[in-house]
Amino acid sequence: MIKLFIATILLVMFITPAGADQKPPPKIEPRAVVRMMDNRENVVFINVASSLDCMDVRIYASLCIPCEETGEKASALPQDRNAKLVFYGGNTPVEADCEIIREAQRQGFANLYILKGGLTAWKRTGYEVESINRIPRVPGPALKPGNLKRWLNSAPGALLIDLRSPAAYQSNHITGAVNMPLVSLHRTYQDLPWDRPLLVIDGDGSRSFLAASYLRRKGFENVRRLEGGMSAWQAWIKGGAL
Amino acid sequence: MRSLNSSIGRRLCLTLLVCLALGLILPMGIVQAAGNPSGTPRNCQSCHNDALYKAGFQASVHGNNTCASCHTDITDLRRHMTGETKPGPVSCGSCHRDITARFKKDVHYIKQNFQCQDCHQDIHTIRKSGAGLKVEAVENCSQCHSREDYTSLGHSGALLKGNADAAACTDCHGLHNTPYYDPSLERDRAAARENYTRRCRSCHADAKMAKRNRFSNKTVASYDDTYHGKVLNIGFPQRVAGCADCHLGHNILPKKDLRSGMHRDNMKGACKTCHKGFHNRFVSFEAHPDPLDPKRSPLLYWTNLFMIALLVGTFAFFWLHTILWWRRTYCDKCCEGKAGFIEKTILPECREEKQIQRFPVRDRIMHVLLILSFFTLVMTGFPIKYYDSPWAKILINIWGGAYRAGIFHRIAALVLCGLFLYTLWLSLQFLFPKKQFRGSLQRLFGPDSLFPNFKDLKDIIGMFKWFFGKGDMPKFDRWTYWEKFDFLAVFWGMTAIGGSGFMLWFPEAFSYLFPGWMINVATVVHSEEAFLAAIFIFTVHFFNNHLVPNKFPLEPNVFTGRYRLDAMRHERPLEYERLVAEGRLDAMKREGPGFWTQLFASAFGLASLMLGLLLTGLIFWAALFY
Repeated sequence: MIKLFIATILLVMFITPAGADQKPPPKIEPRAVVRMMDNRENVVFINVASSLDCMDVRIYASLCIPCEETGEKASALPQDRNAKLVFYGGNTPVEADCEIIREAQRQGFANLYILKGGLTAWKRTGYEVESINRIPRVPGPALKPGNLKRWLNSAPGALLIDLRSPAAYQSNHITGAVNMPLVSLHRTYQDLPWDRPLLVIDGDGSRSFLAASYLRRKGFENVRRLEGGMSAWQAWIKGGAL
Repeated sequence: MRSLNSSIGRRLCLTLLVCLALGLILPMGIVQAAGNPSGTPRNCQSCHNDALYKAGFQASVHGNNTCASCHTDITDLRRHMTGETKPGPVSCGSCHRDITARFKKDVHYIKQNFQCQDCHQDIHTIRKSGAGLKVEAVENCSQCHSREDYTSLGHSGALLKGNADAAACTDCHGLHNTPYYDPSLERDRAAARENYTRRCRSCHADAKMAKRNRFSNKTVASYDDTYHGKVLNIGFPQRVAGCADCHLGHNILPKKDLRSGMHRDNMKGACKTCHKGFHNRFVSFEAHPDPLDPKRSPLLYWTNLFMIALLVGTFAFFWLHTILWWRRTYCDKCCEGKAGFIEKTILPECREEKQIQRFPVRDRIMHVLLILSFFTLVMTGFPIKYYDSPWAKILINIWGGAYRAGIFHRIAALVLCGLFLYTLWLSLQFLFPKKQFRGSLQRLFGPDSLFPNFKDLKDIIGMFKWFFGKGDMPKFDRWTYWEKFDFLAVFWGMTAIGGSGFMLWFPEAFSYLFPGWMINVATVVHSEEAFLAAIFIFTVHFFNNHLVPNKFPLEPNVFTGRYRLDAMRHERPLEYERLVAEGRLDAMKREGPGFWTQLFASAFGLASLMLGLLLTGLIFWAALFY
């Protein structure tokens, strides 16, 4: 009987996902965060977007800990467990299952928030940001989804680079595209062929400009981006929108 | 010889002195320059000596500035020259404050973290373009926004071909203040629609520009006449189409061009974003209808003409009828007053008389519901019709916006339809009681029927004779000819306004029966018939039944259900005589209405009258001045 009880307990512990009892952090408006700062509360911003994004632009004194690189940078979390941690992404919303948020919960931080609207909302509200190592934007043409086929015919050696996460890439991607997440592009760009035209594709077209500029700065001359990213591509596939 | 030697010696000495002086002064100069934080171009160019900084900068729009005007952080030239410090980012905002403030709201800053130099990469050589700001803007924007998509078509294409009137990117999207709209937020989608429609309007409503470029100057006005335009203009663009919803942004091309958003095949896609489940013929809806052009839309033209004729004819007859009636009654009262007569109706003995039942409770409830639904329809519909009048926005906001007003409008319409159908049922019961068809013709043209008969024609003629003092006022039976008109007009009105209303409510479903342009016809019918109904009720019906001098200010019998016997004898003598002859009069006698009934009748009746007259004033104000 005791064995059965223990086995049941173990089974429950095994099948219950870690952190399942932890609620996702509440969302907080930029103005509310600033009010907390005005009240001299210990607010720590954590930018969970890619390193390129975070170095390019971030809220003042933010920590740069991408969701995908939590393991390497988890020690950067502040010592003060009462600190109010405000997580934010670039142009895409922060997922509640972002690993650094789970790690903060595991470490016992009680005051966790997700910045509502992310960096976009912060800037839109009129608050300042800083650039640590800004990537100067290099003008370059974009490609609309409707013109992709024609462009591929004119540039047969072109390489399509999907900048999204591996999970997003697995769920759907343009045939022939290779996955090279933006979060690790600063490490992996050297694997790209220098002599082939490149087309960078992101989720909604908001990050591909940064990636294209970065690659051009690194010496890749023929880099284009897909305007509107995968969202525009899917909309075009679905409805043939012009 | 000595003199020659001494001369050479002097020259040598002089040369040595000059060299010594130069050797001392030049380093001092450089050191002085190094200590000078102003960094004049000449000093900087001693190192930055390529053409970009020499000729290019001098000729640029910033040529009058020093290098340190922008590179303010170079305060120690020596440390800068030795590479100990490097200049940081330039703050363009220290001079271009307005632009910088605007750029903080620009999508390029908010979403892409652009800074000035990302677009103005030639900042050291930037100069005013001979091609003009518009062309320069297109050239600049199309470095990133692909040229094949944005400049080969439509406005920018025309601009690059030399048409200075054509819109550049910045004319629609703004310069340094390209707004950011989050497509996931309804508020932002609405703001975008409102903004871009306003931008289109700024050129397409310009008559001079339209004439120069040979496009119709009615484009904007005709859009404003549609439901899309009216609701957008009254301030609720959330759920209606603005210009770019159909014209799809940049591919502004002739309708026949396959790439045009206006091509029949592409329009379906545009309509589908809001309308679901329509037949292909739905796209023949005219988003810019012109009811005055018989060649373009013949049925719309003739419908509009018919509705105008109906309005003019109805009001010409009934307003004349009203004015003459008022004049005659007013003159009679004046004459009686001068002669010292006192109205019989105010004599105490008359007050004590029993009253006669005219309307059963059912009819009174129906009339109250009719009033409530009618006022709801007028107060929710007319702000949309006269969207640009000052009161329209106030009224629509009282309802909670165009969308909620639309819900109230539809609920009231359903109530009115229910009343209409019930009245139809009662009419059939009256004609064929207990399914008896025999005698139905007699009932149809009989004195209790609301259907017009030959006597009504005689009464109209008799009434006009009475207006001019050529005879006595005709003797009426239970229903007068104007009451019959009121009743029968509802049948026409409900068919016209109800039918067109349902077509506008369910345009997609009706596209399986009619082509899309029938929605334009329905709009004209609904709008004009609404005007006819509202103004007829608030002027003619109100006068005939309440404001005529011998009833002023209110005839409450439709609320109390009964009226005085002397009023019946005076107003409907034939009915009185008939009831006496048939021996039915006593059975119709009732006690006078109770206190609460009278209070309700007076309060509700007067409030309705005043509201109706107020709305009439507002409608005429809007119709005449907007």
